[in-house]
Amino acid sequence: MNELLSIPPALIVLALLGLSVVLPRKAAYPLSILGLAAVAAWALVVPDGTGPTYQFLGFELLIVDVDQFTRLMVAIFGAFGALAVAFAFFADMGKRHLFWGLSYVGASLWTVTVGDWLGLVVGWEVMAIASTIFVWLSGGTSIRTGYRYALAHAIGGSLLMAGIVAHLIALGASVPVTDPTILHFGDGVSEGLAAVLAGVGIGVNAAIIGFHAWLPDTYSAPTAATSVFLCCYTTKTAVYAFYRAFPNGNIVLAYMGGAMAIYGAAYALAQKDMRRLLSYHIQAQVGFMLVGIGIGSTLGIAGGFAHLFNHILYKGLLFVSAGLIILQLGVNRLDDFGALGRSAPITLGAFLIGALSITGVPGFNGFVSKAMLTDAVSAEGSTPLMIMLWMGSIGTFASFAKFGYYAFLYGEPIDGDDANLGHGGVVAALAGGCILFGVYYVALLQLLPFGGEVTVDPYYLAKMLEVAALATAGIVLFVVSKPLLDRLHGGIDVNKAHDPLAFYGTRAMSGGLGGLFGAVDRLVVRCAEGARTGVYEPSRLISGALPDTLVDRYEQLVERTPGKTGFKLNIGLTLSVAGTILGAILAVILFIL
Amino acid sequence: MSVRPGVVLLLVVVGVLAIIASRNRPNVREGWTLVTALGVAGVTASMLPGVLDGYTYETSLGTFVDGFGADGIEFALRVDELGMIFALVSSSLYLVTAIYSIGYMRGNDEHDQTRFFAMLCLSVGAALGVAFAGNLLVLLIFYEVLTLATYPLVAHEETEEARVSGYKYLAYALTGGLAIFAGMVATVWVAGDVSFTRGGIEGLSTLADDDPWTARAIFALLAGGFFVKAGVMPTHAWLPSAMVAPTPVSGLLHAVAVVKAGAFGVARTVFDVFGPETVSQLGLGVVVVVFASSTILIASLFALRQDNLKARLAYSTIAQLSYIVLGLGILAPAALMGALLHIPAHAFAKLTLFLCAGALYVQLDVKYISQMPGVARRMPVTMTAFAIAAFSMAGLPLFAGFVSKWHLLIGSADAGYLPVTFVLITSGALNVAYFWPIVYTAFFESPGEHGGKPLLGYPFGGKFVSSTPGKKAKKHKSDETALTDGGETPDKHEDEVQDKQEDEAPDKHEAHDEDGGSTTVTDKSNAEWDRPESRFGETTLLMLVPIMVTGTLVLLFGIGADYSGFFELIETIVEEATVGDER
Repeated sequence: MNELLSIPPALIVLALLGLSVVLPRKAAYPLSILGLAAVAAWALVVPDGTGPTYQFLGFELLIVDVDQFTRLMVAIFGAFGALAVAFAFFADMGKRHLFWGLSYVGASLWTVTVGDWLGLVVGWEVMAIASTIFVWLSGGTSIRTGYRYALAHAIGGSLLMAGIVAHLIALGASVPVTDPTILHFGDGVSEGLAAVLAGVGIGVNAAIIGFHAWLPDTYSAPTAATSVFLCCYTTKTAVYAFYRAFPNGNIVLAYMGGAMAIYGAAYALAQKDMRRLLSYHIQAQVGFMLVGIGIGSTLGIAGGFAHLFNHILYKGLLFVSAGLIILQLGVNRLDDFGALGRSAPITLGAFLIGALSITGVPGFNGFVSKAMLTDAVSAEGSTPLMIMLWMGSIGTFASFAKFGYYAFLYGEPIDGDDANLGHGGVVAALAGGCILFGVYYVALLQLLPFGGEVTVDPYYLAKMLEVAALATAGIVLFVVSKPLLDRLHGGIDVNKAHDPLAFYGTRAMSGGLGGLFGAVDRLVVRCAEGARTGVYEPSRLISGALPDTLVDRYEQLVERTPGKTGFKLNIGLTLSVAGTILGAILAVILFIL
Repeated sequence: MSVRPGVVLLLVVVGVLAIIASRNRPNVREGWTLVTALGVAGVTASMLPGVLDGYTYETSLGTFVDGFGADGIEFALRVDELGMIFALVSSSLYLVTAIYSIGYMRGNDEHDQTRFFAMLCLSVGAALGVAFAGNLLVLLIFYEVLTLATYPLVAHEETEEARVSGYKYLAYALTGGLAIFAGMVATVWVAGDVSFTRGGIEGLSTLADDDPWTARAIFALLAGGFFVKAGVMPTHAWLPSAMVAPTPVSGLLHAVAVVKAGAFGVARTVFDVFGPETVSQLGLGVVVVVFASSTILIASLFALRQDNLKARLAYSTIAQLSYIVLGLGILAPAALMGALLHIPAHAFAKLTLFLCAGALYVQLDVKYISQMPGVARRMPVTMTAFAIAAFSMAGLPLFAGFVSKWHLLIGSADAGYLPVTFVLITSGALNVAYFWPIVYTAFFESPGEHGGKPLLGYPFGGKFVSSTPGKKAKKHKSDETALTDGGETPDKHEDEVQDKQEDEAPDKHEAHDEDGGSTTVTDKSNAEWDRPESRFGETTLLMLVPIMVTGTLVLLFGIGADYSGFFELIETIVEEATVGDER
């Protein structure tokens, strides 16, 4: 076993976590940047193979299991992590931010490095905890938002767990375990219930339609530096997990991806909050990736992962640009500030390159991966999917036209303080990546799974004309719908239904049940009290039971008569009553038993 | 024939007497508690290697009741794998709680400490007796001793409320004991034997074939009686009332010893009286599953509305205990494993939660969740342990709760109980729903700025209470910006000097339970808890070290469950019990 294989990247991050606690800020941050860059370098040189294993609950966990997919994920996660840490450093974030950011990145690295489902589930849930706390750090309204985020991910994680359990049973295995390797990634998750449960569970993290409301909600709430971290890891880990679950594709997944591309772009168009707009675009772009993976062909999968790689770069760049605006101006919404114009060139540059990449303009990385995806779709001959992808692209062009227009061109010109040099460096790195992998995409192909098997040559006339047509349609769409968009403040999404339902429904149920139990409890207590009174103070019980007219006479009787009941039984009557009772008991014993 | 089981119980008796004898010298008395706890834990642990090898330690004190079956009913103590699990959990956690109790009782300046420590020791001894019982009669005897020994602890405060709770507790527990007694008598009548036999008593399997309804009635009596102590609804009401007891009692007894004794009784009934095969044949598994599932969901819903921290933990205990009963009802091997794994997993986590609640009460007089915003600043180690235990309750991996939840999920899928899978998923989400607010309010809110608790008692979306008058939470524009621009994050204060000293606790306020919105949350204008004086100085080490120990156990069990003795013990039990199954 190669020595490199025995170093789990998550372990490197764990070491960084420990150091970040003891070192001062000015040392901890640079060290973390270097450490994460080292993780990315590790991914580029580590060979295929399996590293250490660990026995957990009877199953064999493969802590490090490297193939081309893992290598790609670790490389981009590590590289982007280093840049996100750098952004946070230059945004004057403190050490707690570093700690929880690193925890989140470390858990994500674990999740994409393990070679079995149980290990993945462990990483999945730890990512959820780390990101929840990370969001909470921002305080204020982020706290309630983080709570909703935690609830969504608790449900998603449990569904994934249930799916893996169903997969285990479908394989004919159970616990106590006879074959500890049964949960290693094999040919995906078993069909049927397992696939559905796991699909929905992973889908929560991937923001599939219906389970996605946490995404715009959460990514727009915390500090700008937090959002830069968040935009990368959870959703992309879900795409990776979808591949592991369905390595041969899944047509439902492909159509869901197509639907997400349209839905996300449409809702993004309606947003005024910058980060909400970008978050809906995460959903749309993840939709693109899922189309590729759902198709299941080598080009589709390669395209999906290429898009994942590129997306991290340009979405990170876009969140950085939005973050720079927020840091400079202290506002979240496009209609809260005037036209930045050219007063902040770094911010403008970041936005432009990010927007050109996400829309897929030739010369930038998005163009290459989108071309791979559309080629894969046309190779399958699926017209509906192609139309969905086109509509998603048009929507993307429209919403970035909107973003650019409102941020930089519309309103009173204002003078932003531009980003500092450190942020400039982060922007340069990300932008450079976008341009590099757009022009010299061969480099990306070397890192891609199936990269050597697919032919990628997107710079031909027909393709460029296609992009031009989509761009035109998008800009026209924006111009035409501007009056309508002005009046939309985010639209009504599914959470307007499920959030009140969850809150009021739970309150009603617990209140209703509590009321019921309370009533029963009160009844029981009343009976007990009645029994107690009957024994100690029969007169009270009796006067309570009498009609009002007789109560006075009874009270007088009680006062005059010794004893507690107000009645007198003479000796003879007492004896007769006692005798009858005893006789009855005797009869029961003698004759019935 | 071995003396060790008997020695353990003898140590307890000696300990109780010694505690009473040294009542006028508190330090000596506390010393006796610790010595007894160490001795008991030590002797119990010494039996572990033997039990892992398959040896069963037996102490028999002769025939107790003549005339039934072959040799009558013996007063037999038998330490087998199942008993070992419960005994290990109880004895080790008694040691931890004993240390904690010293800090708690002194910190709170409690009265009648001798009675407290003596009865605590006796209760644990009774729980160990339940664990070591070799047959139903001995188990029942110790079960009732447990009830009687814990009664003075429940009513310890001697207030009206405490007495009423004590009577309620006695009423419930003794009625349950009566049901068990009836069941036991019936078993002796029918099968002639009440000794615990792995896989079930012969006579009962025959009865199940010949006369299933009688067998079902006996099971109902036995299991129903044990359900009372296990907090299964509707016989659960004694548990929230019993929270009036001092916190070490709530923790060790009502989260570990007493309620687990109930669950243990159900486990003995399923494994060693009837046997899983017979229970399945009689169709009783479904009934148990229904009771357990409804308890889990309803108790979790109730927990959401409690403002009193211990009440919320009590309802959580009710729900979590039913995880064990649920596993015992599903009857698949994985589910049985999950149920037994939950005994230590829940014990470690729930004890941590209660010890933290007690520390908050003693140190800061904090009883209600609505008093807790920002309290992690004052008690960081305590609240970190609380958070770890809360994550375990929700079944998150790396924490103990995941170990049992994973097995229960597999068991429910294996046995084909799809609704149970959804019960477990919902329960996990509900756990998050009622534990996370406590965690986030302690760490990330402050007395001057927090949303109202309990969440369901306040408007949808939260009501943001801020110290600056007139500043309401708006959904957009300026109020959010102070946080999003990165300049005002809590991080900033980290590198600054410590805040100036001020009054510790914000002003007290009325409790806020259930519904109703007339609570006032008094805010001081720059209210913030002070930081503790030194790293581990937030409360007495007598309380802090046990909290850290149990919190660490939660993590150790969560990561290394395979390597703790528990896993091996449980695999053996389940394999032996299900040997006859066609699976």
